[in-house]
Amino acid sequence: MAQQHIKWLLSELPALVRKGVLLPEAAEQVATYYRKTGSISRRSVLSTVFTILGALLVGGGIILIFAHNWHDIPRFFRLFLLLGVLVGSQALVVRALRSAPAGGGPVEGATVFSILAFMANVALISQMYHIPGEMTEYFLICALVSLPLIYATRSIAGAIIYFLLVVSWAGAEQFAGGVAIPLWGLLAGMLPLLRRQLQEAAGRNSTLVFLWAFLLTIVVAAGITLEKALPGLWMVLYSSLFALMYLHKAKHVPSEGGFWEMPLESCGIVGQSLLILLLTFKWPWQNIGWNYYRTAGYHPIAAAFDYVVIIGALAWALLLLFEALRRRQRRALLFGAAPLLVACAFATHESALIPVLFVMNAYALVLGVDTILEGIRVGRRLWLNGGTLFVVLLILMRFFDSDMGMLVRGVSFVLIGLLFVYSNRLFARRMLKETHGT
Amino acid sequence: MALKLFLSRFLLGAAIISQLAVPVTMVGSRAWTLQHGERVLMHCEPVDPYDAFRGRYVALSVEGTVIDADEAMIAHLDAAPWKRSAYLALTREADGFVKPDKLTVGHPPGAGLYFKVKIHRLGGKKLRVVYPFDRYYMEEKMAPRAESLYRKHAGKRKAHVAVRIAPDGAAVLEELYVGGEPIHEALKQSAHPAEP
Repeated sequence: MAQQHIKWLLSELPALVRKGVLLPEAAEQVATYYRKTGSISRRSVLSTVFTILGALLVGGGIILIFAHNWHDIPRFFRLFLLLGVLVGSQALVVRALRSAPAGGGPVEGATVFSILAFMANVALISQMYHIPGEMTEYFLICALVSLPLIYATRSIAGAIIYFLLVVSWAGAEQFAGGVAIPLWGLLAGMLPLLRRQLQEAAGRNSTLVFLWAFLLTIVVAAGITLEKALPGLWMVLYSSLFALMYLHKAKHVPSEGGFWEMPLESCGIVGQSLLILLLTFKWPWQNIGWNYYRTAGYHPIAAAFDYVVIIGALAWALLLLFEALRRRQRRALLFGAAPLLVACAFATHESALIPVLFVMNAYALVLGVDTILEGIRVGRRLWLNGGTLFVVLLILMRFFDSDMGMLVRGVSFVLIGLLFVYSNRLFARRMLKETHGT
Repeated sequence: MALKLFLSRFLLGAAIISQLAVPVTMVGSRAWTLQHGERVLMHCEPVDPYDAFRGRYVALSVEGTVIDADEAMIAHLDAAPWKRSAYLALTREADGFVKPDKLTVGHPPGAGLYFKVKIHRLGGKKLRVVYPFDRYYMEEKMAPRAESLYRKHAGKRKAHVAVRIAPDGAAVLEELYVGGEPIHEALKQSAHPAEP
C-alpha cells in the first residue's frame, strides 16, 4: 500500500472509533499492522536507494582511479584488472539474484555496478590500444549490451542508466549531423519490461519511478529527434504528446492517487500547462511556418519521419478528444482540445498573430480557472493551488510583457490576491462542511 | 513458471557473454597485430583535444590526409556515396618512412603494405582519408606538455608514429615519437634535461 494511503487510513481511525464503526482494540491492531508495513516499506526503499548510491560511488570511483592512466603498469596486468572487475561484478549479480530473486536493493546495486564496470572496460581498453571512435558508438554499445542484463535482473536503476545512454547517443548523433530516429526503436526495447512491471507491480514505488523516467525520456527524445525542416512543428508535437498522456487509455497504468501515483496524467497536465504558458508569448510564433522552411542542411528521411510522427500523434490525440466529447468528460475535453487549438494556431499565425495570441491567453486563463474550480469541487488542495499559481503566472507574465499602466497592475495584483484568499476560504469551508456533515 | 525461469537464466547468460565478448574482441585482434604485425613509421602533426570518457589524448594528423582521387574512384563514389571504406596502399621512402600511394575500393591491393581506411569527398577530386589511428592516449597532465613539446620542433617534421599492420590491413598504433624519442621519454627529458 502506498505511504499516502497508509497515512490517510491511520488518520481516519480515530473518527471511526468515535462513531462506533470500529472497536478501539481493532483500530489499535489495524494501526500497529500498517505502521509496521509502512516502516518496512520505507526501510526497503532506503536500503535500495543506499545500495544504488553505494554502487554508483564505488563504480564511479573505480573508473576515476583507472582513468588516471596507469602507464607504469604493464598492459597485460591492466587488462587482467579490468576484466577481473567485470567478471567480479557479474558474480555479484548472480549472487544477488540467488539471494533475492524478486529483486530489491542488492540486485539493483549489483546491476548498476556491472553496467559501470562494462562501460569502464570499453573506455579503458580503447585508451590502452589508442582505438579511435566516436562518443555515439560508445553510448550505443554500452546501451545495447546492458539491455539483456536489465531484463534478467529487472533493475529499475539499470533501466534509468539505459535511458540516459540512449538519449546521450541521440544527442551526440544529432550534434554530429547524423539522424537519431533509431532512438525510438531503442526506447521501444524497454516496453516489454515496462509492461511486465505494470502488470505485476503497478502501485509499487519502483514501477512509478520506472514510468516517470520513461515518460520524461520520451519528452526529451521528442525534442532531440525532431529534424526541424519546418520550424515550429515542435509545438504541435508536444501539445499532442501531452494530450495523449493525459487522455491515455493505457491498461495497467495507475489512474488513481496523487500527483506522483499518476505519472501519465501528471506529466500530461504539467507539460501541457507549461507549453500553453510558453505559447502565450509572441516570440515562439516568430520565424516559424512555411515561409521559413529549410531548403538544405537536413536529412529528408528524418524530416519525413517528423511529419509521420506529428500527424500520427495529432490524429490519435483528436481521436481520444472525440471519445472524451462523446462521454462528455469536461476536464478531458478542456485539456484534450490543446493540440487542435495549437495546430490551428500554427496554420494561421502568419496572417493572424494577434488573434492567435489572444486565443492562447484566453485558453490558458480558462485552463487555470477551471483547475481552481475543480480543486474546490473535488476537495484537492494541490489542484486549487496549482490552478491559482498557473493563473498568477499567466497574469504576471502579461504584466511584464505589455505596456499596462501601474494603476491597472496594482488593481490586478489586489484582485489576484483576493482570488487566492477567497478560493482557499471556499476550500476550507467545504472541508469543514464535509467533516461536520459526516 | 519453468519458462520464466529458463528465460531469466537465458537473459542472464546472454548478458554475461555479451559483456565479456565486447572487451575480449576489442583486445584480441589488436594484441595479435601488435605482436606480429609489420612495423611502419609515418610522419604526423599532433593537436590536443579532450575526450571526456577516455582521458586526455593527442590527436594525430598523419601526413597524406588529403589526396587526389583518380577518375575510377570518383565514379565509384558518385555511384555509391554511402560506401566509405577503402584500402590505402603504402610505399616506403628512402628514409624508412611510408607514405600513401594509391586508394582502392572493394578489394585490397594485390601485394605490399596497405591500411583499411575511410574516405570523405571534399570537393573536385580531393578526398580526405580517415586513418584507423587518430589519437594517442596519455595521462591527463602530459598531453598538453606533449603538444607544447611538438611546437618546439614545428616545421621540422619531428613527430612520427609507429604503426603495426596486420596482413588484412588492420592497423594498431604502437608509439608516438617526438624529436626521435618515444613521447614519454621525450617528456621526461624535457622535464629533467641532461647535464652538459
